[in-house]
Amino acid sequence: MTERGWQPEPEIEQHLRDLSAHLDFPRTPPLAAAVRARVSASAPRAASRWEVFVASRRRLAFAALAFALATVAVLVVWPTARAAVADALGLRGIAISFRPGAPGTPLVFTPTSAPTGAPPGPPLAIPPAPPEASPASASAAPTPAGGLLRLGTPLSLEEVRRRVPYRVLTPMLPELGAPDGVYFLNSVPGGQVGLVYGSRPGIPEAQTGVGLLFTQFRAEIDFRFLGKGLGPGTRLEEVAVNGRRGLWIEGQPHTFFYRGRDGQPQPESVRLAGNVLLWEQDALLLRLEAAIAKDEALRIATSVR
Amino acid sequence: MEETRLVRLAQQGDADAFEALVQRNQELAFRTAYLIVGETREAEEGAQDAFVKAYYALSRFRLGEPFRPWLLRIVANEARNRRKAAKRRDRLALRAAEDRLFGEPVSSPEVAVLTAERRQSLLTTLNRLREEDRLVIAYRYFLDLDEAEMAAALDCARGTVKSRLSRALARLREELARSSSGTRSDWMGAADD
Repeated sequence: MTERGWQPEPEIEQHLRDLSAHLDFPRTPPLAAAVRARVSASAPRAASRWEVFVASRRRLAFAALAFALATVAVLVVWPTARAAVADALGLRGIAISFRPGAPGTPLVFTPTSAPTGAPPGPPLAIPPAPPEASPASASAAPTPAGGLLRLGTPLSLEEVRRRVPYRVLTPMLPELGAPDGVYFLNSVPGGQVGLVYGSRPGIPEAQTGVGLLFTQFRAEIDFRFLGKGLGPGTRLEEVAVNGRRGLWIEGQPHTFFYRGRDGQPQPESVRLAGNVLLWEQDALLLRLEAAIAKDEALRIATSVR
Repeated sequence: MEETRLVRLAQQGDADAFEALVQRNQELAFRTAYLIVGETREAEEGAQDAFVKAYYALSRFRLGEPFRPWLLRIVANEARNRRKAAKRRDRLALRAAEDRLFGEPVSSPEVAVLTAERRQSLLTTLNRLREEDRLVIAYRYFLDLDEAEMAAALDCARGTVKSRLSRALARLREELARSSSGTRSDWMGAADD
């Protein structure tokens, strides 16, 4: 080799090659059978042409965005990452909490001091969810550009592992397999990783092309703000996931408010595309969203590591 | 090419084809993992986990590209995670068995002893290099990885592999000079500075 950057060291190289012939690596174990057993635990998932197409593009942007738009806004305040969470979910300047109380207790939205510079406004009392309205007709103000909820940059799982300062957790169920899309959002401190899975047996499409969404970032659940009875049809339950406290949220369409560029809160009606399981693990806040039952969600969550 | 055929079948869910791929690559995967984690059991489990991850990631592999770099990236990543988790003090875990150090017959017993000592000394000196240098040298001379495979295992840009290797060899030469205290002729053949 005589290219740039290469300085030959012929004697050293010769000695290294000589040493190589006398080295002992440990005997290679018979991995093939063990690997075969592990991937055959369930029938190997055949990559359909569609999946290979999607995967080869590594892009589920349209599906992920559509799903994200339909995903309910955050319902719990995380003080350790509040601004980042709000920002990541496109909800600048809004902290959302709910009060314990009887079913039907209104949600209270408390504007925070805003990155946008708008002064905090008075708390707003939100009545129980109004009839579903399409985002376009919700108000005269335009929807924020770029999508209200975004998952970030599509990357490979290996690339994303390099980008974040924590160990990325993934569900390890064989029938779930590898995610069909991996996204990285750097506007959340430490970065948010979003894994998107297309529909699988037992996991229907909650939104076009998407069955399950698994996100993680550094944050904690603040259980002081827990409440039951968020509104008609919404159920919140504390659950245990891998020995940690978690929240299971299922229910009806929700309304949430975001703060627009003019500093005024804007309503947005969305349909919860699935149910949500939230829990903490390894100092990360994990969120699993899919149109599946609690037991199934817990089963998937238990496999996360 | 056979490998492409196997990968294509494996992508379609053919477990036999994937098993064949594992057979072909398990020694390389295991040895790469071993160089990083330095312990047999961890290397075995890490390589196994890496193959399983590779299986589920197969849909993202672009058929026609070389398979080994793609696989080695997964293996090295898995091994590095394991090493971090184990907080292991890194070292090159290779040994040369004493009889193997002597190897083939040479012109005289003295030469044989010198040769064996030299090999051991080289190995010891390699262990003193920092991990980055040890690995690039081991990948090139002990595993015979090509440039793309090395870049994948090192998780670096392909264009930097040659210069990394050069610098590692230069540092090895310096270390050898330092340690042999005056007998540099053993290594360099001629007086040099």
